[in-house]
Amino acid sequence: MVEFRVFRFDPEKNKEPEFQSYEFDPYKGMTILEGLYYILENLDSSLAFRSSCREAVCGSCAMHINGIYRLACKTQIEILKSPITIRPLSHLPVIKDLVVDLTPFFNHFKEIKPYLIPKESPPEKEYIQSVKEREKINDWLDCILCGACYGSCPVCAQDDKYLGPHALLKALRFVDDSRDGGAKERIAFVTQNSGVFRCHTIFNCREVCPKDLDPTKAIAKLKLKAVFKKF
Amino acid sequence: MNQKTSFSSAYGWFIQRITGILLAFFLIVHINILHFGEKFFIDFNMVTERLQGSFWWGIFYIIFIPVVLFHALNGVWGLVQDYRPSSGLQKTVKAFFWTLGIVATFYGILAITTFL
Ligand code: SF4
Ligand code: FES
Repeated sequence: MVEFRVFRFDPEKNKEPEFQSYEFDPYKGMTILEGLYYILENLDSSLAFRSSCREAVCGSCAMHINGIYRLACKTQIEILKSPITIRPLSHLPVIKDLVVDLTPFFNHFKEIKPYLIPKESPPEKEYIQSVKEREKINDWLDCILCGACYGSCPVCAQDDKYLGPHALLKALRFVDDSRDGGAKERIAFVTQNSGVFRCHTIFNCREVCPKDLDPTKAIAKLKLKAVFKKF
Repeated sequence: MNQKTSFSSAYGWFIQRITGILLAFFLIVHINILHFGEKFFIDFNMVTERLQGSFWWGIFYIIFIPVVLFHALNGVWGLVQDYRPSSGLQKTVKAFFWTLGIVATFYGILAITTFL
């Protein structure tokens, strides 16, 4: 038997959030997401949560599970101690139960212009990128925009204007891309008041990232690039 | 992306690191000389003796004062920003810290140079 203590809140109906307990027999290898689906299908059809790929690719199932932000589809029940407490991502308005409004998160992402900006004189046919140039961005590519880093960051909690680890990591991904012509513009943007220098190097983002990325390192690199104007 | 932003926060961040490293050195020397020196107690005579005895002690403190003031006030400025003050309040606090830093630096240097 396992007990799930799930955060429940419907802003239209409830004044205060509460935790609701569900008990069931998990099978071997059952994930938290499968557990939530079990509850939805067998115990309580009113439970709301997000998911899509079920294989740690889409980033939609990030939530706070037994004290750590994780992907529900990538976390097996048997590695956790029951009762398993599940809350939504922090610092974002709750729409219902485990579903949060990701608008601020994606707005910050859009702000850094997450696409290649053409160089002044683009090549006639295509940009050629060498293996070495490609390797430079290897460490920043795999972000699935799950929001775990954003939820875990105390600076995001205090300042909704702070760009957040996800947006800053993506900014470096484009700054370091040999095909991008917007490095100067991006660095100027991330050095604004709510940019890289608001980061207190707390390392939470690095600790929780389900794709083992290191936003803290990316932010440190952006800081140095801003100081030495190396871009 | 607006581009109106300046790089001043970048320099503030960088100087904070440099002054941090310098402070580690200055504080080790300062605490060592005051608390682990030959004399057990600290009094005015001891300070006067040390400052009058060597030109280098004067230089040491003339550098120490602005370094410690920048590091401390810039650090507090970082904390103030965590509370998301309005832009008007930010300007006021910044002006206050700059004034305090400059006045305290001059006052400190003046105090040191009277002994030299
Ligand atoms: S950096 Fe990691 S934790 Fe943050 S949004 Fe991307 S994948 Fe998720
Ligand atoms: S459902 Fe896609 S990452 Fe979990």
